[in-house]
Amino acid sequence: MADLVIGIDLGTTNSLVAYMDGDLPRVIPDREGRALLPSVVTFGPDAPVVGEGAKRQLIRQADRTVYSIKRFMGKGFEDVREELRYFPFRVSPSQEVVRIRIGERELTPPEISALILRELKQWAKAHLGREVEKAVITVPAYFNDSQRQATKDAGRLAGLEVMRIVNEPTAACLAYGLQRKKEGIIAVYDLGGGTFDISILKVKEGIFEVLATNGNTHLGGDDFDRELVDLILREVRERHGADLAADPEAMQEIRLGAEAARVRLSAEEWTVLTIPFPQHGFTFRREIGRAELERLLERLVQETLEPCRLALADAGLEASQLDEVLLVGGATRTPLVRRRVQELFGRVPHSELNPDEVVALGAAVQAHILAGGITHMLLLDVTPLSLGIETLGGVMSVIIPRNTTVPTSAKEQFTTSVDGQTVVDFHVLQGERELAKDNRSLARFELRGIPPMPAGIPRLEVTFLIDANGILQVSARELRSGTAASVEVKPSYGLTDEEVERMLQESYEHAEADVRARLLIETRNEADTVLRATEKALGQGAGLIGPEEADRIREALEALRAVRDGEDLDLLRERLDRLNQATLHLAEVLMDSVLREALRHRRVTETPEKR
Amino acid sequence: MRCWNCHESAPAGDRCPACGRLQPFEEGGDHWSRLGLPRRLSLGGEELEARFHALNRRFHPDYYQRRSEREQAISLENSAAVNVAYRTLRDPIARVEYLLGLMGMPLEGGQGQPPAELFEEIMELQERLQEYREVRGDGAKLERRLAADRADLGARKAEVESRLFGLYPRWDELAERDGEASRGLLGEMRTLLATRAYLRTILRDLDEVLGTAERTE
Repeated sequence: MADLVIGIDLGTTNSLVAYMDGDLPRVIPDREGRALLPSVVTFGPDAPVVGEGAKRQLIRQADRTVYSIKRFMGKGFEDVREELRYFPFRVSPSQEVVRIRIGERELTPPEISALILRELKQWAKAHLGREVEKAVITVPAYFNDSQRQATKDAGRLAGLEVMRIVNEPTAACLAYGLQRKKEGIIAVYDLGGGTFDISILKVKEGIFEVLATNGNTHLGGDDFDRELVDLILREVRERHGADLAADPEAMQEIRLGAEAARVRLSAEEWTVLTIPFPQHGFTFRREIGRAELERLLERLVQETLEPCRLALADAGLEASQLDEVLLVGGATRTPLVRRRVQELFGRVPHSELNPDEVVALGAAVQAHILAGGITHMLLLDVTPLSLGIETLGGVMSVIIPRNTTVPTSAKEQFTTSVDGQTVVDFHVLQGERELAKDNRSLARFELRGIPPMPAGIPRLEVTFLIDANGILQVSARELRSGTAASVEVKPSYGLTDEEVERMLQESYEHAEADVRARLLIETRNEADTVLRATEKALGQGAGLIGPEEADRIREALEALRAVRDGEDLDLLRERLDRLNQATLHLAEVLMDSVLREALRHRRVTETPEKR
Repeated sequence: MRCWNCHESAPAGDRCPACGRLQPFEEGGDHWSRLGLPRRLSLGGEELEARFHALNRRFHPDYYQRRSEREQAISLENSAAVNVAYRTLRDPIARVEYLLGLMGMPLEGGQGQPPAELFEEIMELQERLQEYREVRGDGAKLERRLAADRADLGARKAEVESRLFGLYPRWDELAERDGEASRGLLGEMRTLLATRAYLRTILRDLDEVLGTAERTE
């Protein structure tokens, strides 16, 4: 029997989990039947809350409620600095990984994403009635190595074995492919809450081969909303003389109002924006039409078209050679997006499958392939960005070009520049620009354990391997001595293995503390019940037992009451057991008397078995 | 070779007939051998793609998720090797460059000297480019001239390529029976490649200056 592997779409705005139900992928709903889990986490006084409950806290607890965390995955502080003004939560300035400040705590994006994944894992467990330990998680195709690694770390922190990181547009194509069995050249245009991807695939005899991919990991529905947010802020300033940009609650009201209006304008020509600001003493009200919104969005939509042209060129194709265009992601419901896509590719795009669900469904299909449940379909994806190393003069030298089918590998030789040198380091980058500084720094690698030799003599062969997840693995050996060199990685914007280990440890400890807290509450409840029952029993049966016994019971009862509100679970448990023990005899006596009473009134027709 | 698991005789880069475990490729093989093809320069795109698909169905890590760590590592290495082989061989230029490297006659890096037959033309062109960049002389006229140069050089590049590709079947035929002659032919191909590389660099410069949308490969 195939293993159970779930498919997860970890989205900017919403996340979903799906599984294969027989031959068809199916989205798993929560207990109330909702399939979409808002990707929002709020850090209340007790445990963190994820989803709808957290979404309701966006305004009231703006500074403790985190949303769109996907935009921060695998990023450094400098990367996100500019857009921070749109977020009400605080980010600690640091050199490396972004850290979100919640009260006294600092959390990295993978830790926050892990809470979302954990919630979905719970949904799956509740729905399927069995433990779920393995998952396929989707990411935007244009995610770089750090962003993929961050997603994998999030999975690990959520207690999931991440079997595969799969690209969102390709997952969507798999879902379509499973249901329609159509072959040919397919373009997938995927515009989500925060990211944009275009992938061009060739589907032939069950093989889904990605020919080229391109995109922008910082462009999506969120950015559409920001155009409206800026408009509202400007008009509020003009009309009411108030600057709301520094007020996190007002900003959240504006953002939610803008989002709702934008969504309404996909179906309607006109809508009214009504945003109350009770704390400022006014309500912002304004009519807005679809045409006006489209003028605001035009520049952003145009920004998605250039990656489409580049992907076509990399695939060596003309738009006319495409057999189909698929639309994926909630933001493709925008009529302007549909029009521009249709103009660019010269054909009406398809969107029969729910654009919110199709990625999760595809993830479930890929999960089933990995579990051995499907053998006729195979996905061959590509690495979206060129991989290279920094060479003398700060130039990037490409080792693996973009759009290379993964897994793939390349070897590079290094040597020493000083006599007796035992360590060589190099800087690995991703991107398409000439200069190293214009590309994305992935990590600095240090090769250690090189046998001391004169300068230029060691021949260090480094193997760069990109696995099927699009994640880099580096290994090295010295060819003259045949020794393997140890490779030390310093990720530029990621967590080291040790950090993930430590967080995992902490999350276990948290989990332990959580379990203890719940046990304490349950034991207190139990104590209350026993205290009440004992008092009642003493009232009813004091005459049936001796005064010494009654005193012993009262003593045990008071002893339990004394620790009822304490934090010591073990002591509470112990006194509770003692009281239970002390009342055993009283209970028996009471039971006997009740029984006797009952027997005396027994009805003739009643049989003992029935009682 | 011997299976790493059961030590029975097993073919490299396939499953062991005795125990079913995946075997690594032989050390020292080349892109053709890994795709199970004879070493030829003339290759059909369909044939290559069919091998690429068939071998990915054999090696892809998706199919080894529930196998041992050792087998997963072999699957990863083999499928990476197949993907690199396919990428190299499906491009007729990368294909011949790879062959030259295998035969110990690699194409030197860098720009090198312009080919003798084009020397003068190119010198004049460089001068015009310089003038255009510095906005000297009649801009519109220069631009027309440069556009004409671009068309001319593009045609030359295409011609060089077609001469190069014309040599592929001859090499395939000679390689099997006359080592010396086939090496001579490789030398000829290397010269054509150098000319092509030079033309390509200039075309890129021209594209950059003219802002031509069309990209030079």
